[in-house]
Amino acid sequence: MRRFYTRLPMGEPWAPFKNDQVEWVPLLTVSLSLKNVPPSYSFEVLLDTGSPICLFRADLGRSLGLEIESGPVQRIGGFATNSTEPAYFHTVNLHVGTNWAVEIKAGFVENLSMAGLLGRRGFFENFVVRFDHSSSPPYFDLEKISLI
Amino acid sequence: MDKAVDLSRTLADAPRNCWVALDREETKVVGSGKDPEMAIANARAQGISDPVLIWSPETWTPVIG
Repeated sequence: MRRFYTRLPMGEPWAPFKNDQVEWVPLLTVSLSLKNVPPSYSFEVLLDTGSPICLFRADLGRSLGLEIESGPVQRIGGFATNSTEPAYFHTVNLHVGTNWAVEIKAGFVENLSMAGLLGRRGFFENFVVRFDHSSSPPYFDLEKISLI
Repeated sequence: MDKAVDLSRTLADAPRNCWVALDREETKVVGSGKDPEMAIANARAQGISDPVLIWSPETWTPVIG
């Protein structure tokens, strides 16, 4: 499956890249479900090879019926060294496209600046992704790894 | 989606710090809300039964994963 990057606003121009008006971002449309329950609505998440885990906003989990704070908690941080947030983990089904679904252990976070991000555990261990950021527009190819 | 989606203008003018519902082609905002259900309900009130949701942050700043 090929998906082109999505153009998102940049807000104020970035000081080192003042000629850039927009930002191309590798977003993927997914949905979540609990076991034996139809998938939720669709939403856009970021493919993030730098993240060791999959994360979603907590309100997405609540809309599935999860009691977020009942899951195992792990504090997580980003590039800033002095800031962490609790992520509560639950097992959910991640639906990609119309044919692919994988069971993943995902973290749910209150203050996430996006709907979710797909990281190495749960997503990149189940899908081969080839990014081409050199083309215009950039794109990625996505394929589910077949289990033998 | 088999073509590039340009949300730069659509989202620049969209409500912030909330969920935004887009039509299936992701060309226009059809609802918004503080939680996903509210955004979907607003989209359905506009006749869009299966919107795509995206979180619209307070500000569009670089995100480092």
